[in-house]
Amino acid sequence: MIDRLMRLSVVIRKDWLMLIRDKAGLAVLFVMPAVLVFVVSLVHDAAWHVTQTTSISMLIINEDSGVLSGEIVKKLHELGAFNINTLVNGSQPLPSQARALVRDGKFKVCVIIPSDFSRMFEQRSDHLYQNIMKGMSRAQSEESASGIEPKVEVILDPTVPMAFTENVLNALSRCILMTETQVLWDRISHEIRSQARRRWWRFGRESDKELSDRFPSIDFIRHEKYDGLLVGVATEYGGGQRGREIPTSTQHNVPAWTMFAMFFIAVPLSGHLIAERRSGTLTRLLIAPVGYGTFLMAKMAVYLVVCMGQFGLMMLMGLYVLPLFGMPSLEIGVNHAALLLVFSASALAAIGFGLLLGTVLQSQQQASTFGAVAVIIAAAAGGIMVPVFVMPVFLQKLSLLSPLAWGLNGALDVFIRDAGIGNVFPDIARLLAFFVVTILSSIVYRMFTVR
Amino acid sequence: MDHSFEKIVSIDGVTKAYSRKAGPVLNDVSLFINKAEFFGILGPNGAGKTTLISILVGILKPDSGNVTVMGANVKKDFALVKSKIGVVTQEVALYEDLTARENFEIFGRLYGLSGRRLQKRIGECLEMTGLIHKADSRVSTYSGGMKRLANLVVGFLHDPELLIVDEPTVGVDVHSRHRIYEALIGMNRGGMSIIYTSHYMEEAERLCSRIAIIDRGNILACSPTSELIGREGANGSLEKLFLQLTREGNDD
Repeated sequence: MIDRLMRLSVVIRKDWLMLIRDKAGLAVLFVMPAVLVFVVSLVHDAAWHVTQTTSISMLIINEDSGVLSGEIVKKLHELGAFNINTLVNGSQPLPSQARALVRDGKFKVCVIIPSDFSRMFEQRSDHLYQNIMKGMSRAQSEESASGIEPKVEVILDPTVPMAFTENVLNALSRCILMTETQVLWDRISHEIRSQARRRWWRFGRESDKELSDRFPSIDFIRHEKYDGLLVGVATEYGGGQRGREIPTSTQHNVPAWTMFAMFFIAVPLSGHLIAERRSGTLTRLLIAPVGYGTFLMAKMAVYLVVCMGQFGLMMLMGLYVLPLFGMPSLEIGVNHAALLLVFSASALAAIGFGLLLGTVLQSQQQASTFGAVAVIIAAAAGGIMVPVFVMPVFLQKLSLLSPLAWGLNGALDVFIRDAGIGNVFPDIARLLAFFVVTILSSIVYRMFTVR
Repeated sequence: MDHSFEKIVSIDGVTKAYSRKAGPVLNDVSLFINKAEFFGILGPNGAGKTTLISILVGILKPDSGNVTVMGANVKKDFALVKSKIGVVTQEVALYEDLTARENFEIFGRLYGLSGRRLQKRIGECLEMTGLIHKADSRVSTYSGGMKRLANLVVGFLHDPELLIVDEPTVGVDVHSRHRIYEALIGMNRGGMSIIYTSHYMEEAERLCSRIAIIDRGNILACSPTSELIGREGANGSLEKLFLQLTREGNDD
């Protein structure tokens, strides 16, 4: 037993020396994932802000001098959802200039309020109110108001995502709806005063001011109790208190690219194994009293250290480096033991995959091509690049077979849902089963091919 | 001390086939090697030399027949004698990103050497092969001949009782080849049994006291070198005998 352990330690030292001498290999193992997580997080973070809309610049051309258009502009400002500009180089551009600015990508969206907007708005609301009071149906009322159509023009950059377009239109509709509601409410207040003056003699002698004081208009849009919604919507996140802050691009990308980096070790690992087989050094080790199991165990030990090094590096990237570039910091959750278990099991699964490739494949070219392609496909199917839920159904089913998906799912459970060991056990069990199957397959394949 | 008649290797009726379709690579091969003997195995490409050596070192198992090395059956208790065998592989089987010294330390430790004993033995081997000045350079920076010498050292570093050397001089310049010869002759004189395979007749003639000629899995001749050279048809040349025997085999 001691003899075996001594031999194992010698082979581990050999593998360690080989690893640290291979500078290009080390760069692939450590620098590549660090660069990937940095670049992809940055890109995703930008995309995230696009869907959030706050970083999107909106140009508003208000050609109308009326109160209502001013109200709409004010409400858009108050929403705080856009970076609103009304002037370009110190002056308000013409609608044709505004179109050119959007076309050239200077602004993602432009809202043009024409000069007759407030007048048309008031006319239409007045007309509709009169029709309603006359008891006309909605269709009849709409038909009679067909010539009076105040319009706000929205010009959108064609490159903006659909979700953003929806956000802009929803925000604009909401501002217009609030203004419409206020106008109709004012009309109703006015009508109440008129009716009161006509029907009750004692109000007929009062001045307009006295009557307004008695039946005041309520500016309920700006009333502190009114937030535009009468029915509240209770929102709750599965992750508890932290749920509202996440997922961020960091939260997704750090575990995702750590998984990718870990599984990418299959390429150098299988390459080293094949090189040893082809150079005869494996035969020499086996002739010296080293069993194939000891040979594999040494590789597992060294590459487990590599994988945990990758894990540590990526965590540091998420915690300290990404925030330096304006990205959100990584939240690693509260169950650190579960996190360590998920990544350790993922590392073993990756090592098992690499050892199987190294046993079955015949050349380093095969290993680098097949290994890289296999890992990229497993990563894509496993939700490393885009979340699984946005994939087509058959790909979602395929993702169930990807060990990267199991690892990522377990990691996100810990990061986002504060999952404990019990919650992530199914993912850990799958990863360990994958490891055992790949190692046994390697040993059995070798037994049947080397006789 | 005369070890001439003490068998260190005994091969009895060994047959090996990689597949039924291809037929046997070794066909009922029987031979023995005496202790402290310098034994040569000659044969053209594909004759079965490397398969025979692979069986001797325990990385292949024979389909039938018995092989005993230092009294241990390779099928059953070969682990007992494995550490007493040294192998110099046909390829340069070294870790090229490591230095020669690191390679020697790794293989020396695997054979149970350690501490001062290991360092002393490494020093001796480096001295013997003339690699002392490049001991701490990576093997990848070595010339072909230096790599062959380093490869040789890994085989005999642990001072085995039996050294199996598979075509060690392929692609080696004259100076390095002579260093290899000197090292092997010196060890054999010290009592080490050596099994040597080669394509070069003149080096087999020079080094080996007894030679087996093998082709297509069959032993065509196995006798002391002087006896083979003196055979009718050899005309004093091992190469002529080799060509005659292997041609006959191919004509069948």
